[in-house]
Amino acid sequence: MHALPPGPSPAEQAAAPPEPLVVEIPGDTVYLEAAWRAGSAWDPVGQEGLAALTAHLLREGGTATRSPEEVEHLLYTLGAELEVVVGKELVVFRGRALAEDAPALLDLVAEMATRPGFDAATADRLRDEARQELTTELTTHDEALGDTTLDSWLYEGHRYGHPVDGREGSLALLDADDARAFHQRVWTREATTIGLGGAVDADLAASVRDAFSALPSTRARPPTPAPVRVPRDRSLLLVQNDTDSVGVHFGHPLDLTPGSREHAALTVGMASFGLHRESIGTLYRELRGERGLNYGDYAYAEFFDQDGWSTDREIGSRRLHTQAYVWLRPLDAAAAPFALRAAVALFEDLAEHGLSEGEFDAITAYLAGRRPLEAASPARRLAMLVEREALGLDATDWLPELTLDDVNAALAEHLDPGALQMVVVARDTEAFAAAVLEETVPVPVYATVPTPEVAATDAVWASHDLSLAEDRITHVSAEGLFR
Amino acid sequence: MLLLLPFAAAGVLPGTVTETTLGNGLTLLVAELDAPGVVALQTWVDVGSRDESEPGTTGYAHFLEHLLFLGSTGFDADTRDATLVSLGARENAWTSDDHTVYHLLLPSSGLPQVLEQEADRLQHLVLTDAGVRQEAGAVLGEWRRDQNQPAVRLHEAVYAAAFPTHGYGHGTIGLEADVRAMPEGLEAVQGFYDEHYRPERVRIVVAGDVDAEEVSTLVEQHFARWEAGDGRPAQPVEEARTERLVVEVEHGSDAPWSMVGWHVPGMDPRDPDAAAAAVVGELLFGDVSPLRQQIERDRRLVHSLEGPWRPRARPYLMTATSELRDGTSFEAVEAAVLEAAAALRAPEPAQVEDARDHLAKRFALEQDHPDAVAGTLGWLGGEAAADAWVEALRAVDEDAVAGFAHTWLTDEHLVVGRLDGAE
Repeated sequence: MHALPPGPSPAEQAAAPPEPLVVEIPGDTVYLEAAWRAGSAWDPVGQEGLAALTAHLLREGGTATRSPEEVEHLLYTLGAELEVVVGKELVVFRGRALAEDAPALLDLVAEMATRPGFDAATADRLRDEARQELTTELTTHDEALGDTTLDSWLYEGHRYGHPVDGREGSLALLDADDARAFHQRVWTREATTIGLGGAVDADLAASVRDAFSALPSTRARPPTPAPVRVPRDRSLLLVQNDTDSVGVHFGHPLDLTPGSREHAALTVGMASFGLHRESIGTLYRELRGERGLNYGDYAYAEFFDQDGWSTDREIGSRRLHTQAYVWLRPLDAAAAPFALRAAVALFEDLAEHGLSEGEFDAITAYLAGRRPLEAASPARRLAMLVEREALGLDATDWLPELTLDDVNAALAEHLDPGALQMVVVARDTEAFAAAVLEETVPVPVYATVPTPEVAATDAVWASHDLSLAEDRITHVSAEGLFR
Repeated sequence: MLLLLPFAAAGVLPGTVTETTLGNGLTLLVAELDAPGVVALQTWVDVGSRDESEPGTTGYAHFLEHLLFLGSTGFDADTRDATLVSLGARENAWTSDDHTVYHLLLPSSGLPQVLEQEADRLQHLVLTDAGVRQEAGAVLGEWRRDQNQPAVRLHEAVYAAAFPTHGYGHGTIGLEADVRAMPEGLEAVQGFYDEHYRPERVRIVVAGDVDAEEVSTLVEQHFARWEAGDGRPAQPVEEARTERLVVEVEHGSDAPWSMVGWHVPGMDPRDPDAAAAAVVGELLFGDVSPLRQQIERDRRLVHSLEGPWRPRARPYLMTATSELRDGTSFEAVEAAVLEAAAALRAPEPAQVEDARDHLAKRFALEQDHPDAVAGTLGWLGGEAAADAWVEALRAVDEDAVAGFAHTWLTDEHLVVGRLDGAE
């Protein structure tokens, strides 16, 4: 048995209990999507990683009435799924169970959120695992290393400017008591959005509302996040790691809110440039398709975290601050300097010239056709609704209204090639820096004879000016990068 | 058309499933689901990296998967892409030891067009030297992506030692030398396609908002003239092992990794033994297994235990893989795994009951999407097999678990892998 944390006083419970959003889904499964504005952006300075530690501790650290082992055993016998997604803005508890098992699952999740156990040994283990994620896991996963580095660097000095898992140094200081205090302060009714789907009747929805009503109230919505500061001039961060391949990531913060018309227009433009894991993007077509340089090349108008092995976005990870982001998958070291120049040249061209009419027609048709397919997954349908509500985003479907001019205006207005922040992960960062400063880099030797068009373009790209002075290039080691 | 077997919707899968076998051996599985306007199309080809028996062709099943996107006689790549873009269809593919699977999710209205194109690339793929050379670069990029991961290195070394002759001995991506030589592989990959892409080794699975009869007519129209092959070639049989196998790998990382496992027999998922094996896997490596509780949480020997497992068609390994925490010895982890396996010779009935019920409930939960239903039908081969699988799971008792543990979780079937961290 675990000690009961002090509960909120009646006076604090003045705000209305969170009324569940209910989505109709056929079948005898019940879906739960519970979101809190309690992601890593709420980490106190010096306690980076606390939001994620708290979220995972609520899930794994037992409850007031059950030990961690009893919680796991109950979930297991219910056959229920319960996963936790922690992003910069949101923490999501996502569960599903067969209808007969749903009340037990919903009660358990409500108890996790309102009367957690804060098991100290579990906190200790989770903290060590987070530290492991920031060290060994990153240095042995090239793509994640480059991605996490750029994502933190873009927001240096901002509350997005550290990994969700925290930092090695701050994690060492955290314990279950810190998580308890964070939970009391941040996990409030106002920060809560609950969604239910499937075999849910009014009684079940009411019982869920009542169960979560034990959350305290601050009588205020969580504050609007501070704006991202003006980006730097173009810079390159070279991350030295023990790896044979080279990873290239670049981008810059955007001053656009997701859900806005302008952001929707920019999203269409970036999808045409490099839709995630699809072959229709310009980057993919040019670098992988025409030249066979790597496995894939993608572009985004906001943070994108892939949902497991699927190619879908992990819902729950969406943020209020957006970013332009380009990702080249691992390259041969000899070809990487050329690939960086090619991708930057293409990005500059996108900002300057936008899409052609044909490209616009193709991508909008594709995106319009694809949307109902995403809704075919009931869990995703519910999750998207809850995410949007939790973040307070505009639900307008802008796609049918957008014109080519809208998209190109957004690209011209919001893409800022001069502000690109680039991260390159490589073993020989000195050699890469030298190649960046050269006037021309060698064109890779392809397995097939390039067409005259490809050869002509290559010659231009090989001498494309990256406009990176030596003092804008920084070298760091992957070891201790997030200390 | 030889067979038409409609089933009522009383089984473990939602909707109504219709199974058809064409005269050339091709199987069609159609699940009519409540999924307005949406359909999943999956093509399961019974070819995987285990079929790469010719020297120099490791990785070719996967390489060929890439090449199937480069165009066929009736539809070049641009035409096919334009069709899918206009529909908003989502497509991808994957290759494993046993299967190559092409999967699409699309509006139901586009199914006739896409099925015709699918039939064309399965039967009339156009392979060119330029296409092969270009796509080889992408495959090399995919190979490069994972090379820095210690777990990948350990997996490769252990399977190479455990399966010296069988195709399971190399990873699906292929050996480095073969991947680097792929640009020269036109002739070999053409031969691989001609031999393995045959109708009797293909299951077309359609799940969603469709009419089974209409789909059946389309499939008959586009696939019936495909000439049958000789079936899947026999694979070499590994000699029975008489003592434990220990594989040590130097990767030079700071993170020691451990793999402990056993050779287990090949099993058709419809075989009751397969269900027992799945329950054993769950008892050993599942979320609440005593082993996981002990080495991840109580004694904290490892960072996380990786052990999802499901039966394979051929003899395979049932393994526990983990990254050791600082100060943990290989011996400590190996002893804990062996102790957990030994305990299964006399399992607690309640634990067996929990594990089998958990697996059966999870199975039911997962069938909530056209993609998921298509995947289940493709893997198991039909609705009756899906019903049988769940029924077999629910029938597993402590005797079945004990029998499996006695027979297979023994020292002569044991394989141990250790990466880095050696003194």
